[in-house]
Amino acid sequence: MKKLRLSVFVMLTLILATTVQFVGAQNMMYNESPMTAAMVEAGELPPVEDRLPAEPLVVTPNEIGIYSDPSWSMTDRTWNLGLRGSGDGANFTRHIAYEGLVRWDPEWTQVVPNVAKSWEANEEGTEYIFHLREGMKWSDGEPFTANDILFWYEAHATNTEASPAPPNWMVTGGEVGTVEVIDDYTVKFTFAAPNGLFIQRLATPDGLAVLQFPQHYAEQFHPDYNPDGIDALLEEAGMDNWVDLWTLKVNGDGNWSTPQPQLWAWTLENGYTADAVQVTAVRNPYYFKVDPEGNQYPYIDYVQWDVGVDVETLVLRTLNGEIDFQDRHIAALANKAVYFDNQEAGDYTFTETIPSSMNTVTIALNLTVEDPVLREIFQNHDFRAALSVAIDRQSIIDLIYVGQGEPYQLAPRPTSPFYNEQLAKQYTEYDVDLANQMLDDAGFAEKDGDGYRLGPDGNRISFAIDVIPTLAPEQPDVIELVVGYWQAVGIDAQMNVIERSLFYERKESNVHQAGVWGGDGGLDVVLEPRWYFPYSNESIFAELWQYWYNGDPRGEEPVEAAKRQMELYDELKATADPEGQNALMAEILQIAADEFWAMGINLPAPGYAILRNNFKNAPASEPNAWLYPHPGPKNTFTFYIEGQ
Amino acid sequence: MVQFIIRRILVMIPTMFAVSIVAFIVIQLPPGDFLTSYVANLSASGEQVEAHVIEALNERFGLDQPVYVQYYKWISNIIFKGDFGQSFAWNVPVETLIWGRLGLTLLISVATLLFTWIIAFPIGIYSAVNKYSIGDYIATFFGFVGLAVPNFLLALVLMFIAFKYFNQSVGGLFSPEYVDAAWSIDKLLDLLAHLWIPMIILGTAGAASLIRIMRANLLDELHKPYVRTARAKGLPEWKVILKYPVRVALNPFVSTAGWLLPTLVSGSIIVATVLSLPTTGPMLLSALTTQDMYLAGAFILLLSLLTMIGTLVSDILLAWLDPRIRFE
Amino acid sequence: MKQKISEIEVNATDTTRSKGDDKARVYVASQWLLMWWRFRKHKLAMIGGIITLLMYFIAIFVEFFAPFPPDLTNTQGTYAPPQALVLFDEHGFNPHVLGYTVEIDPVALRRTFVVDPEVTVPVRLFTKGYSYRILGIFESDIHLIGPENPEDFMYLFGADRLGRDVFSRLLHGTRISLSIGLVGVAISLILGIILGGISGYYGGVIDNVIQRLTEFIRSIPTIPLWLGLVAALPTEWGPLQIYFAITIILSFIGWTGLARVVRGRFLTLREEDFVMAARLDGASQKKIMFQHMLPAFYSHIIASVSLAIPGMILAETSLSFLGLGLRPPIVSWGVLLQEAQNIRVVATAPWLMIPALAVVIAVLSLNFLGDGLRDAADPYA
Repeated sequence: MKKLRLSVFVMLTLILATTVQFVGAQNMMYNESPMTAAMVEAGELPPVEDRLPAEPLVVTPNEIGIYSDPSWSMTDRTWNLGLRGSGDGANFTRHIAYEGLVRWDPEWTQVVPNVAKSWEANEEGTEYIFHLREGMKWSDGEPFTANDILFWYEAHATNTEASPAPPNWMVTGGEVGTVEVIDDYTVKFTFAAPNGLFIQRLATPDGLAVLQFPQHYAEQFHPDYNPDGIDALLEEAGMDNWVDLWTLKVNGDGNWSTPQPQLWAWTLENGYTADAVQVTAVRNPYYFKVDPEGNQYPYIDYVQWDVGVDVETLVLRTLNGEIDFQDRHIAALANKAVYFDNQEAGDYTFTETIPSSMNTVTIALNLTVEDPVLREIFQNHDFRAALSVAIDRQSIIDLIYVGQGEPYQLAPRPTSPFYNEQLAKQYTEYDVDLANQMLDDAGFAEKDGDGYRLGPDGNRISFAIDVIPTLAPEQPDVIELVVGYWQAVGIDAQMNVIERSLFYERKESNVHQAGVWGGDGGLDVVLEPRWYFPYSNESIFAELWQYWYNGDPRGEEPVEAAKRQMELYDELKATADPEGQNALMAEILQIAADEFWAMGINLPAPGYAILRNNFKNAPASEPNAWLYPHPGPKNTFTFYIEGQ
Repeated sequence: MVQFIIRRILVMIPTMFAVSIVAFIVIQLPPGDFLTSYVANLSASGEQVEAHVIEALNERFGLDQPVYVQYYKWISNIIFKGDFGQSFAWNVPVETLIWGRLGLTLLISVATLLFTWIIAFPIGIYSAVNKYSIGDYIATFFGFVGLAVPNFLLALVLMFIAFKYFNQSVGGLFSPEYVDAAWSIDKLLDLLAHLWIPMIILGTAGAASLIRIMRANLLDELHKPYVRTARAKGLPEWKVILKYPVRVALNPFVSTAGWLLPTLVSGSIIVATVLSLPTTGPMLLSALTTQDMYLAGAFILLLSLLTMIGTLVSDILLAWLDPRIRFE
Repeated sequence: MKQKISEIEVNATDTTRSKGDDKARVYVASQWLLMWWRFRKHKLAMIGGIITLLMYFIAIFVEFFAPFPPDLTNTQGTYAPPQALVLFDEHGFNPHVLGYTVEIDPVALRRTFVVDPEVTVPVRLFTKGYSYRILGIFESDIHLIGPENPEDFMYLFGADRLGRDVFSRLLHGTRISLSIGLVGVAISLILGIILGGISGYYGGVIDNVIQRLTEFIRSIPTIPLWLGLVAALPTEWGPLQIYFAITIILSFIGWTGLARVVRGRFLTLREEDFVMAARLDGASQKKIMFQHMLPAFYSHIIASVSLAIPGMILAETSLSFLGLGLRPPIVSWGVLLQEAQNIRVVATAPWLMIPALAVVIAVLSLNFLGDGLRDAADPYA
């Protein structure tokens, strides 16, 4: 009896809760911030019920926050951040601009609705219908409808002048998908072939461009929509190519130089231009999200970035307590000691970031290197395995990473559902004798007068490893040690510290013999498989094979195992259901384990972010990634400050 | 005189051409171009740019054309249309960028220059008059220390001291709360609080050579007969030194002032970068490192032009101030 | 004041103050001896000269002075603070350093070092250490100072992020930095003398052309030039080749200054009688220029050279700051300063900034030396 009553009680509560949720969302009393309330009083804004859509998105924060009070100092009403130099546009993406049709849930386990309140897909994954929110408005009060999405598609994504190539996640079966407006609040994407990863892609920063072309604002800059007025505008700006003006005035793919209407929680007041020493974003009165008590988000009035050219300036500002919550640029491994000492004075503490990267240092011998002798040597599985065994990973960890992290190869992180033990741990033991044995057995037993092993052509095996000092400052130190270990088993490896741009050029032209990078794809395994098979131009262990896979004429046909992996991934992209996708991915990973394409050193230990003590609702732990552009998916609009 | 000037100006034209070629080569020398730098940059921060965005940029920037085509496009735009091109990074014409920062840069440069003179002259004079005394040694030592200390490290250390012991907000010219605020006494004080670091570093660094020149010139003058005469006449010592010898010794300064023109405009590149000053220096450096072709090119042309103008001005002043040269 | 007057008076013709048989001595003294007498008066220059000689001496015999090779890492010593050298304890004269207990702080991500008086690392003079070659020829393994047991570590100036001894790295860096200065200036000198000399001696069109050339080179801003040239160096080159390439690039800019000085001198000397005499004697142009005119201002050249070296040293540090400097395993002051250019070091490991002191001392010494030489340069003036 008791049990039955209990379960009935639970059932009733659940029904009640969901009804309240549903009904409440419709008839809730909405509250707004003092800032907008004052503007409503003054007649500058319509009341909050009219600014919100009919069905705002209700997001539950860690705890209900308090609005910035106009009587507080500007600093307390602002989320203070640091921008670095030019080209730091991603700073905006991460902190305020993460508002796509859909988004990742904070735990990064699934995709949840965002601007779209729901969506349906057909079984094959060729048709996707998104339902938008009735009454939703841009930040300047104009209605947001499906036409704005169509505008993105027609005016930009498929306009060959503005975009010579369409976004690759829109292309399946060699054709670009189409966008259709069903009605003001319903939009349909249709693809020629199944687009299995479509929804996931929309949840990454790639999908944000779709909602950054407000037609009522942008069409004046487009010759197809404003054929008469465009010339005057061009003249005024001193340009003759409309695409230049388009890029300047419309945020589109991530140019933040001109403030425009957006759907974000805060919108830019001034643009990210060359002479901006400070960029400020102000609360968007038409933001479409509320907390469970009906308070319209965001809680904080302003977001402000101070521009620093040199990273050390940002570090000093952090020490001084001028940064509220950030890890970008400032949270390097080496700086933690300084921050630690200054915690009290700066009134901040540390939060944790879980790297999505699965390795601090990836060492890739170029399996498609031009020199045929080196190619033969590198493609020898046992050669690579021997080199891996010759590295004393624990010493490197102790010396350079202060003992943090375990020896690891290029494999999904232990917490990932794709964890593959063999791929992760093979050849991580340190055994010089075994390495020498393996090299001897692999056919490289002969040595020259200086003790270096000879290749199949009788010449010393010698190659250079490209590494840049700016990805992670420790990498050149690590490679120096690795070179030492390899020299000790008779391999004449050298380190080549070069500048970022040169590294990029060399790998694009397949000139490099070996390269070093970081281990992307530890958590976002399906979307970022660059180290598991030759997938993109970041797969530096086999540039020519990935060119072949991506239809680039420079490519060369890969070996059987890699081709098999490519087939599997193509199948994955055409699979609509996640179960099927995961199974295929697991197969790909197993082949990667058997082949051992490239090697790594250790699993990155958790990083940190700086958090001021009066800054609330920030996550104590967040993934550090790009496809999950932290802290965006942690719902930055729910953060609040306890000001005075 | 006028002939001389006209001839020099005429020579400047082919020189500028040569400079433009060298400038273009220098910008293109580092491997890759703006796009590879841009993509590599993002890649190194763990971010990616989609392929179609890169393609669009590639087309717009025209970076896959051969070098001489790009050079021709650039130089003809400058000569025939007065168009110095757009900055790839900022999407605005380069003139607006340079112009925007020029005022501030000049302000800081001039202030620093005055500061340098204020330090250098007294030390130089004192050092010459009291040659080989302890005072001379101490003064020259302090004068030269500014030159000897590596500026970038000193800037960092001073910033740290300002933060740690004076609780200042460092970097840039204003603390965050004063950037947009209206001018007031507080804002002025804040500005001074940020200015003292660059002025000290740059001021002391420049002082050394001035001290040396001042000292050498003054020493030459002090041995001349007219000084002995003045002293014999019974003039007080300070007048003996200041009335004529110093004025003559100042001659080379005024005449070489023209050389300062380019440094006034570019400011100090390295120190300004470390201190995150919104001057032209850091902009030039970032334009060079990211290979923002037109911005960097325009900068180099500008600085070269200023150097040549500066030399010309110096030569003119030299001839004008010293009649002996004119009548040679 | 009166005293000052007489001092100035006398210093103007100070050769009369030499000891002994004044006038006679002065007249028969060689040019170099006169220079030396004048130079001696400038005390600061004397000190500068002694320090400079000392530094170059160390630079030649670096391995003897440095207890460790510059790339020897020590896992237990990352960012270890400097250890004080204790000379006397209860056993009498027993030089040693006190050891550390090392712990890893996983939160602050660093190793903490607590001085442990129980652990003493005996230190000896003229002790055995790693082996090396003096001047590249003679093998030896004696070092001026070092731990008695070569396996131990001794951090007189602390350690860097990989546990390498700053003292040893500093000394090794001395060799590279000072030699870049010397080699670079030598190249500039040769270029400057040749071009400046030709320009000054021949005058006319040649002078004009060379003048415009120097002006052209001077008008190109240095930092872009550096960036372009260094970034274009082939990556396959080894560290040593890069080193020479950078030296040449640096001297490329420097020669214009020397050329101007040389040209100016040649212009004035051209009119001198002894030049006409040499010409009448039938000497060739080249002989006149290099055998007769040049020696007339050796002293000026020496002075200019010693003033140009510090410029090179500072330029090398600037290159390293821009990320264009020398590559490991070569260590220079610029490389060391670049490693110290962050808040982590300034705030928690300030001993890594000691190379800046070395730069200051070197630059000051060379500057004062150069000043003194220049003051003494023209004993007949």
